Amino acid sequence: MFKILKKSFKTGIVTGQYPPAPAGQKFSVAPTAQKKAELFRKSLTIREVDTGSCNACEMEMNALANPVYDIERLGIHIAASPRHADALVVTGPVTVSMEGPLKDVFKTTPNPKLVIALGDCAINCGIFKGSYGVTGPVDQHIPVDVRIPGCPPRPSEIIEALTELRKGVTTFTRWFRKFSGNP
Amino acid sequence: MKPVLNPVERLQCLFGPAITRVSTNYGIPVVHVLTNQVLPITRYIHANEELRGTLSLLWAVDHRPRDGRYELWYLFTLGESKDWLIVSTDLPGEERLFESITPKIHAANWYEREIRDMFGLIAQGHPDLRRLVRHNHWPKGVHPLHTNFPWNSVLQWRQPPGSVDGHFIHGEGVFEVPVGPIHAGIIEPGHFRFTVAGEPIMHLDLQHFWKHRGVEKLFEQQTLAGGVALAERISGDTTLGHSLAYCQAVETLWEIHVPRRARYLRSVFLELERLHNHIGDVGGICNDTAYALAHAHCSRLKERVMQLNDRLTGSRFLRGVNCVGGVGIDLSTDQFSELVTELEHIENDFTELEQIIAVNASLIDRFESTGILKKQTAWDHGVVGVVGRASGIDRDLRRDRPFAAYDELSVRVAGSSHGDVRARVQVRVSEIHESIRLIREIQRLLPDGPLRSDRQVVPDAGAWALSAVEGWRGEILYFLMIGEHAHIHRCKVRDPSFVNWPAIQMAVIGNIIPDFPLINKSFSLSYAGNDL
Repeated sequence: MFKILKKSFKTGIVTGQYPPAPAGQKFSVAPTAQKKAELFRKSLTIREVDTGSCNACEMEMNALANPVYDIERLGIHIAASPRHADALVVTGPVTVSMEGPLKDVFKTTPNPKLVIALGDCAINCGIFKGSYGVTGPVDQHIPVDVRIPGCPPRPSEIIEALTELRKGVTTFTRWFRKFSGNP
Repeated sequence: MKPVLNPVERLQCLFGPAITRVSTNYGIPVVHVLTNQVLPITRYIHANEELRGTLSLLWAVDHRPRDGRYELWYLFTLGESKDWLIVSTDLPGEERLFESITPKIHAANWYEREIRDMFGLIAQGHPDLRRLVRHNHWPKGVHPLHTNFPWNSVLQWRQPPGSVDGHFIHGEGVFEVPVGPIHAGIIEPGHFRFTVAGEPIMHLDLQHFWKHRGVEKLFEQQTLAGGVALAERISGDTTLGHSLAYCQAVETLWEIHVPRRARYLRSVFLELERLHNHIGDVGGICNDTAYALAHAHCSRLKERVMQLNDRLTGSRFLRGVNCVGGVGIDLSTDQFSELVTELEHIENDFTELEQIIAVNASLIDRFESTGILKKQTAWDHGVVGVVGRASGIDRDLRRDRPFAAYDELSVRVAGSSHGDVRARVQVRVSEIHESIRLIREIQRLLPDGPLRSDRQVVPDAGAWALSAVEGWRGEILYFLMIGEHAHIHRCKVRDPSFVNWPAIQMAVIGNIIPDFPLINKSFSLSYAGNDL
C-alpha cells in the first residue's frame, strides 16, 4: 500500500510529456466531415477496426490511452463495440477476408458517424498496393471523412488531428453566419 | 568403439538408397531424398534419441515452368547441438500429392495446410485438411504462390465472406462461444471458437489469416535490396527483427561481411525492441487481470523507451535502421550515454514496480497454474521464443546460433519449467533486465569503424540462403531464393507466431473463458506476422 503510494508520488504526473507533433498540417478532412464533427466537440467515442495493418498503427492507438497521452482528458473514449461508437478508426489496407467484417461494422455503427482512415495503408494501401490479398483502400468500401497519414502516424499527430477536427466553429460564428447569410 | 557419425552420415548409413544427393549451402547440410522416403527419414530425425530434431520450418518452392517441378524443404533444428539439417525432395510438376508427415510430426500441421492453400499441393494422410489461409469464400483453384499466378490478380469471391467450418463438439450442455474477428479491445482480427461445457473450455478452434495481405508474393516482385521496407511492415512490433533477418539472408547471398560496429548497433536496436515490447506485455498481462495500476506504469515506461527510439533513430518503431550491408543510423558517444542513462532510470523504475507486482496476491493467484503449456506439448508443436522458454524449451538463437554481435556477448538465457502465465511473465521480466545489461555491455565493447559494406559477389539464379534472428517473440526465419534478373524467386517468412498459435489451443483447455484474454496476452502473438 505505502509502496504503491510512494511510487505514485515519486512518478508524479506524466501526462503531456511528449514531443510535439512535427510541424505542418498533414491530415486531411473531407468538406462534409467538419460539420459532422461539430456534434462530437465535447465527447467522441472511437471504435478501432484493423483491416490488415502491420499492427504498428494498433500500437500507436493503444499508446493514446497510456498515461502520457491520456486521450480521455480530451473527451475521447475508446469503445469496445461499434454500436457505442461515434467514429470508426480504420487501419490497414482492406484485405479480402476483412472486407465483409468492415462493412458489417460500418452498418452497425449508429449515425451520424465519422470514419477516420489511420495510416498510409488505410489511405492508399501503402506498400501492399495491388496485392491479390488486398481489395483496396478504406474509401473504396466505406466513405472516409478524415485521413491521417504516416507509417505509422505518431500518437501526437493523431491527437493533433482529432483536436483540430473537433475544434468546430464557435456559437458566435454560427450565429454570425446565420444572420449574414454566408454559410 | 563405435565411430561418431555426424547426422548426415548417420542418415546415409541408414537410408543410403533413398538419399539422392547431399550438399552444403553456406554451412547448412542439405539431404536430398526420394519423395516416398520423406516420412521415414523425417520421422527418424524427429524421434531418434540422439538427433531429436524439431521441425523448424516446412516450405515449398515452385520451380515451374523452367524446371517442371516443385521442391519441398524440411528444416530441422537438432536437439543438443541446435544445428540445422535440411531435408529436401522433388515433386514432379503434374504431381499434386505428397505424403503428409503430420501424423508423426505434429509441428508440420499448419505448414502442410499452408502449402495446400498456397501451392495446391495436397498432403496425403493429413488429419485435418481444412482451408487455412484461404477462407471459405475464396474461389476454388486459387493458389497464390504458383509462379504463374499474377501477384495483382483481383479475386472474385463468393458471398458470404467469413463463413467458418470448424471442429465442433456436440452434446447436451455443450455450448459454442464465437469471438471475433473484431474484438473488444484495440487488437488485430482473428476468430476464436470456444466449446464449453459449464465453465471450462473443452476445445478452442482458431481461425486466423483474416489479415492475409500476400506478403510472400509481394516479395517476389522485389529486388534483393528493395525488400527491406516490406520486411519491416510484416509485423509492426517486430520491425527490427524482421528487417534484420531479411538483411542477413541477403548478406549471406552477397557474401557481405557486416562491419563490427554495425553488428553491435544491430544488437543494441534489437534489444531496444525487445525492451519496449516486453515492458508493454508485462503491463498488458496485468491489465487482463484488471490490475490497472501496473498497466499504467508499464505503458508509461514503454512510452519512454519508444520516445527514446524516436530520439535516437527518428522512428518509434526503429524503421529504416537496418539496410542491406549494415545499419543506416549511427549512435554517437553522447547518444549512447544518453541511452544508457535513460535505461538505468527505466530499470530502477521497473524494479520498483516489480516489487509491487510480486506481492500482489490477487494477481499471482490469477497467474499461477493458468494456461499451462506442458513441455512435451510445447516440444511437439515446436514452440519457440518466450513461450517455449517458459515451458522448459531451452532455446535462444542469441546463444545457440549467434548473429549480429551476439557471438562476442554472453547472453544469459532466462527459463522456467512451469509453463503457466506466471512463468511467461517471469521470463519476460528476466529478459528485460538482461536486455538492459547487454546494452550496457555493448557500450563497453562498441568498436569504431564503418557502418556498411558493399556487395562482394552476384550470385546465380537459384542460390538460396536461410537466416534466423531471435526477435522479442522468438525465432524469426527467412528463406530467400534468387530468381532471374536478381529478383526474389521465393521468400518464405516465418514469424514465431505461426508456430506458437496452434499451441495456444492446447494451453487453454480446462481454463475458463475469462482467463483466455490473460493466456492470450501472456503468449502475446502477432496476427499480422502469422497471416502474412
